[in-house]
Amino acid sequence: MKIYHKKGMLLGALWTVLASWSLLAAFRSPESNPAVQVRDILLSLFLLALGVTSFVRAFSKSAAHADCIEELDERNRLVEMRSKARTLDIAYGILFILMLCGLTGFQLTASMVWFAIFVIPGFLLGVFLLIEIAVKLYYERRE
Amino acid sequence: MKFASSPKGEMCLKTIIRELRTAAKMTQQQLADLVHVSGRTIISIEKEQYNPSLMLAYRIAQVFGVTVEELCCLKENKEIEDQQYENLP
Repeated sequence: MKIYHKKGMLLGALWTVLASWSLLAAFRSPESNPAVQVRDILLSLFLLALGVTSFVRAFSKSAAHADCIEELDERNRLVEMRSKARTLDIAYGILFILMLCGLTGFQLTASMVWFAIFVIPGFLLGVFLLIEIAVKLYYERRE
Repeated sequence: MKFASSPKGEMCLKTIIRELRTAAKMTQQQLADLVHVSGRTIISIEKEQYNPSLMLAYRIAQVFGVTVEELCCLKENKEIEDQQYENLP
């Protein structure tokens, strides 16, 4: 049997193993809350189906070809880049709002909880900005 | 740079891909297979939601035996873009 899409096969195998392990864990040590137990099982089954499908597709020439085309497709790549960029924009916004809330709360109550809400998003925002500057410098030189 | 006339703030090229494809009695998926992209990419280009790369435009132009200039209506699109540049503040 020939493997046509190694990456798909490896990812499929990984998802299958993880989902099987999660499914086994859900049955061996069930949650006390039945809703959580059902959620865990459904999620594991979904991941198992995803993994098995990806694994099986790696052995089919036509399916592997279609997967490669999807992976290399220029529009798909653009969509992925834009989604990631927009995700980062939203994360910036959320962190900034949290930071402002923390600052306001701390000013009003002097509680350390509000101080933590101010400091943690502020730190993350700073780290994100430094990473963004470094990445921008990298691409400014190479693109 | 953003253009106010486009809903997404970006200029998308008008192309004659749909006209050429229907004249050749070809489906979007058949064209996609010929130029090695997904069917959704062809749909997006035809809907003027996505600008093809130069190489993809060249591949599509070769399928229909036209030039990239003709396929992407470059003269017409340039005139539209020129007007938008003139309207910039």
